[in-house]
Amino acid sequence: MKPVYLDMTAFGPYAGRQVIDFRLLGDRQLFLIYGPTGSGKTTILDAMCYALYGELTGGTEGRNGAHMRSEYATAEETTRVAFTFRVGQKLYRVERSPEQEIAKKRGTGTRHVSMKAALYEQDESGNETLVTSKNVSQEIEQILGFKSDQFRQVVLLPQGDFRKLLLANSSDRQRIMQVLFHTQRYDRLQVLARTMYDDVSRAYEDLKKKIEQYLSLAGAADEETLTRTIADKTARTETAKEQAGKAVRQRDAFQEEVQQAEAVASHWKAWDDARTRLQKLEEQKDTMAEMRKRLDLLEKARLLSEPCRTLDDIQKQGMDASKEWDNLQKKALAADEELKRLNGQETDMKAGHDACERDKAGVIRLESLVGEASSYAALKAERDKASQTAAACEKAWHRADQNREAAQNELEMIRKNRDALSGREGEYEKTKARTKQWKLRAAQEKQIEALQQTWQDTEGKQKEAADRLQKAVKKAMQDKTDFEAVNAMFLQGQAFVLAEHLHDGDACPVCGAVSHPKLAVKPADFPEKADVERCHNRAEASEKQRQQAEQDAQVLNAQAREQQRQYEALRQQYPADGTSADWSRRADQSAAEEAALLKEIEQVRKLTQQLEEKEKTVTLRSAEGEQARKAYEEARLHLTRAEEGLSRAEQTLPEEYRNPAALKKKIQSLKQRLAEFEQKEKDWNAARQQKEQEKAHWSGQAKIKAEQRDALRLKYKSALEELKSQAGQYGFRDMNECRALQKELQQIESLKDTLTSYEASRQQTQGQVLQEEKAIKDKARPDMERYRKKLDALNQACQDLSRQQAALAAELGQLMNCASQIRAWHEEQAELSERYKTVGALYDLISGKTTGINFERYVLGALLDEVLQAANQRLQKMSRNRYELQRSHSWDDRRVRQIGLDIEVFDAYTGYARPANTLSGGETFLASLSLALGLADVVQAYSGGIHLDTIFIDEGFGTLDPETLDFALKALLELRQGGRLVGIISHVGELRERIDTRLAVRKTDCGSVASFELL
Amino acid sequence: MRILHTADWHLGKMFYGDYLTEEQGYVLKEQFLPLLKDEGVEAVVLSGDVYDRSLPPAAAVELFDEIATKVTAELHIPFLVISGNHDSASRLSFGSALLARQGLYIAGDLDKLTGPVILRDEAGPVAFVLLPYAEPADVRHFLDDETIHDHQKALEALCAFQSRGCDGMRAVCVSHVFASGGKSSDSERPLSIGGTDLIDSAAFDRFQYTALGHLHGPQQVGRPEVRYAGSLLKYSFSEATQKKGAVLVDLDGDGKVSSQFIPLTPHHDVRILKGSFQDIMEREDDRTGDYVLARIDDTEPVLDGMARLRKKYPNAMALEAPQRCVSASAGDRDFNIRGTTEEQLFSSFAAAMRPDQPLSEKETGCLHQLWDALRKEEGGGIL
Repeated sequence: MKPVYLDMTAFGPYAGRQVIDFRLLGDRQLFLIYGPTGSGKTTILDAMCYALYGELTGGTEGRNGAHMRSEYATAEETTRVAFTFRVGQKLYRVERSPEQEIAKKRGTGTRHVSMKAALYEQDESGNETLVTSKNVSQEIEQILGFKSDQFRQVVLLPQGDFRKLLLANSSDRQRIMQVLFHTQRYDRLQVLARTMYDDVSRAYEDLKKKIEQYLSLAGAADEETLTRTIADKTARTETAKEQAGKAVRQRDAFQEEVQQAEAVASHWKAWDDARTRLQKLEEQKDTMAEMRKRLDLLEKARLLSEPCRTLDDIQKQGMDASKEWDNLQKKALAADEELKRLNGQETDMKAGHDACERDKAGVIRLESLVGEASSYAALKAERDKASQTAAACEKAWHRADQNREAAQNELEMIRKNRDALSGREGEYEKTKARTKQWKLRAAQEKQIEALQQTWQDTEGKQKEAADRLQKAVKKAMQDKTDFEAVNAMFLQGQAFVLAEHLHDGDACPVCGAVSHPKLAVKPADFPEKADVERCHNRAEASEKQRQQAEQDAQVLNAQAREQQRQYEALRQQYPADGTSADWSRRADQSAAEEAALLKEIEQVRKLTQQLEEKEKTVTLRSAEGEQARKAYEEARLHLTRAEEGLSRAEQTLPEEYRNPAALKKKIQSLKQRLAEFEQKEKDWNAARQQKEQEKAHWSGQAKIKAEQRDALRLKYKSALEELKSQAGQYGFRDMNECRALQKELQQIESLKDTLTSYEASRQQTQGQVLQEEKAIKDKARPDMERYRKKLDALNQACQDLSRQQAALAAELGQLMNCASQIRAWHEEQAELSERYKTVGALYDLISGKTTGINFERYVLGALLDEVLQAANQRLQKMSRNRYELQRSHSWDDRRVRQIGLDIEVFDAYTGYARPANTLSGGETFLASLSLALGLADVVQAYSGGIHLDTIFIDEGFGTLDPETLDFALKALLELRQGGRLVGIISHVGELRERIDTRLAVRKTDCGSVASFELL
Repeated sequence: MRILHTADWHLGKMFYGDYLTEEQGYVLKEQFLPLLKDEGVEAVVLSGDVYDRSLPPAAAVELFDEIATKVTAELHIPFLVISGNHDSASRLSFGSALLARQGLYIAGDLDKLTGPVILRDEAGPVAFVLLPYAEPADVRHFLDDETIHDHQKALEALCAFQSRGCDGMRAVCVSHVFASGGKSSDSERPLSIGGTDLIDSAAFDRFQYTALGHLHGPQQVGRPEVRYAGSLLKYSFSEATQKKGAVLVDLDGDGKVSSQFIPLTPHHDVRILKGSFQDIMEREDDRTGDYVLARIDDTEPVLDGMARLRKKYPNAMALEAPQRCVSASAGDRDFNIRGTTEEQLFSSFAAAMRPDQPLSEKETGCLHQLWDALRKEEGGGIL
């Protein structure tokens, strides 16, 4: 889970909207969140946790979401958190807001808003699709793969709580690792093994029950009894079989006897039958004789069949020919009738022809008139057009007139306005002059005032100068007296100086005397030359100063006098009747009036301009009016001319011929009529010709047919004669009889057959009788009834016995089946118990019954070892090779040792391992941090595992001394985190200097502000 | 001109919980200062990392105060100092303008840089170009040049800036960088992750001598005129075999340089002891007060190792046993969980749980059935 963007509003100490864009980190792996206490560092993590799970980093015991509303927030702002994060390749955004009181949009007061949450999925182009808005936390648990508890132990190490993972007991740790590594499947394996085990034992029990069932079905208490019953039954079946065999043999023997008797009986019967048949045949003798006679007759008739047929043919042919002749005759007659009818229409045709001629003439005449008609139509059109134009011109002329009037009115109005504003110019000039004057006055007044001021100042300065002068004078005098005193003393002292070097006998420099009775003595306070110099200088200086001061005073005085004079002169010129401010105010007023007047003058000018324009428009409009009127006149002229032309044309052309289109139509119709009639005439002629042809054809045909018919008649007569003679030869009474018999010729064959068969059967029957008599010689007629009865009885006995036997056999068979089934099941049972043992052993192994370690635990143990290995890489560096994490070796037995998932710490200094909770605070922090990083490493390495690519550490670095902090930080910075983002919250100053990617959280008057510092 | 080049004092450093300030004081006061006097040094150059932290302990500050005062005010030797990556540049260069007038030239804060320090000897002026350590971002900001993003460019730009006005003179560069080709030790704080802090020593070609600091082992980089003086004391066990001291450099009038290493020895040395634990305890040793790291090659853990070691070596700092069988449980599993399949995992589980009774064929058959059923239900696992 990698954070991308966090957006919180009115959350915790963040009053407004705070946005943290993790994309600014680029590919930096380590960053620091720092700020003063209470500024809102942990709140950032809280926000993330809250957005994902609805809980804060303190879990359910800490603050809850509803309390996170910022106290600095205004009532209009809604507390909400939106967190965009990436899991693998997918990008999600979750939004959550707690229940809170917001100001109503309308009206006063607040309303209660309940908790809301929503989860969206984003694709690369930034489009969002809503994933769910209920059960958001559960959805997130599924996406991330762990619940909030685990989140707070693995991804986010909260303040003061980071040691949870390190110090958890085995079952807690098992839970976490199960979730992270998906090892529940091995638990499932155990369950499946158990199921298999149960299945086997159940199957075993089932078989046992089945065996019992079958035994009871077989009526045996147990298997021995069953075997015995089987033996018994087998014996019984054998005896039954024997008995049945015997009965069958008996019956068969008797059956032979019966057969023999039957043979005899059948012979007797046959003899009876034959005799009866013979009798019947004898009775049919007479009928047979009759038949013979008829047969002879028919044979004779057959000989005459040929000529009879020929005769019939001829007759038929003749009749056909006759019929045809009739038809042909009829057709010829019909054709003749038609022809007559057509001829009758001749006169009509002629009349029509005449009418044609007349129409032709009419057509020619009409065509000549078409030209005239079209010219008339053109004239009419022209006249219509001319009248339209005239009307339009009239309208235009009226309109132009109206425009002109309107323009004229406007002109009048403008002129009036302008006149109203005349006379303004004079006023304007006056006002302008007045303003100028007053302004000038104001300026002068100001000047005077300034001058007065300067004069006053100078007076002041002058007074000062006078004072200074006095002082200087005093000082000068003082110094001078001092100097004179000193000088005098010095001079006096000179005498001493001179006297000092003077000895008796030297000439006195002053008077030249060589004796010096009273040498001058050193006066008290004999000043040095330097002192004298100094005093002299001082005196001179102060004298200079005095002079200067005097000069200054004089100058100032003169200045003051001058200024006073100037001021008074000006004041005389301009009496004080108002301050400069008054004057300037008055001048401003005047200026305003001036401006207003100016505006009015402007307006006048504009109006004048408008007036000019309007006059131009008026002239334009009147010109237009003139033009329109002229046009109208012309159009009218044009119209009258057209009318004249039209009336002239009307005179020459009559009414019905004026329309060229109608004329054309009429011509058309006439022409059509002509064409039609011509066609009709042609048809009539053609039809006439055809009918004549037909008539000739049919009559010819009829004649031919008549001739044929006659020929046939003759032929018939001759054939008839011949037949008559032949019939007489064969003994027929007459020819008709012969002919009638022809029909019955087919009976000959059948008659023949009947006769022959009768003869044959008679012969046969006779023979049979004789034969049977021979066979039954000396043998009596047997009593079949008796025989049959006995046979039946024997059969019945046989059947019963065999049925008995079958029943016994069936029972035996059933029992044998039972026994074999039970045997088979026993085998199965044996197999099952083998399998039971196997599965049992396997299940014991998987569930760790004897060793206490089940498969899942084993796998977890191996995983934990790996995790600790990865953790140790870091812990060794951070603790300078002192500490190592390992799984606790609580028991000595090697197998049992691996039960626990407890972690203990091996201390290289003491060579012992001790539980993890004996470490100091700082050491615990280092161990927890290493463990979390190691865990993340290992989880990442499994594909399909959970994405642990972010880890946040909230405080904890404060528990380290500076040297250890150095090492820890060095380890963190050096070891590649494998693309993992590590975020640290700390107030420790050293971290702020060492880590160059920082998120600074600052407190302000209204809430906190967080911003990235990336160097 | 005779110059003493030293660097990386790290005053106030903590070494396994103890402050080394006393040792540092001993070396500086008893050996370093007399050295200056005895050898007639005319300028002392300290190439960075004066303190170990940006807020050093009071004792460290007092020590530096004492030394600096003695060098400049009593011995009247110009003392040129630059700030390193461990120092806080602004705090170190407090009063640098005032102190410069007394002969203590500190270059720290970039805003207070004043160009080269010109000292004179008989042959003429010698320019000292002081380049304090600065992050590229700070140099970029200071020189207002947006193209500076790595240490190399930063150094070149800063060098150009600081050497204005010393064309034609003999020049010595004082800098605190990681020159490529140099060997580092455990106690240096890395300047940046991923090696963007390496500097090509060609940047110093125009200087007659370059006095570098940062790497704690005394060494030359490429040519003998570009040198690291090394740290004052051994600050980590990886330096146990290095020599510690200062470099005495003679610069003649033509710009030729000859240098000589002067060793400095503290009270207690820093050593690594190797061998079995018993060996170490029984061995003869006359310097039991040294700071030692015992690297024992015993395979079994030694009980109460540290306590016993401290009886002989009261200043034993750490005990390492790299050969120790880390956890026997890793030993009897001969696979790496990542590379195995679930079946293999199970067979080693079976072997571990039931070592005298391997899986029979029937059991294996059953097992396959179970695996199949599991896979059908839950799909593949993470292995």
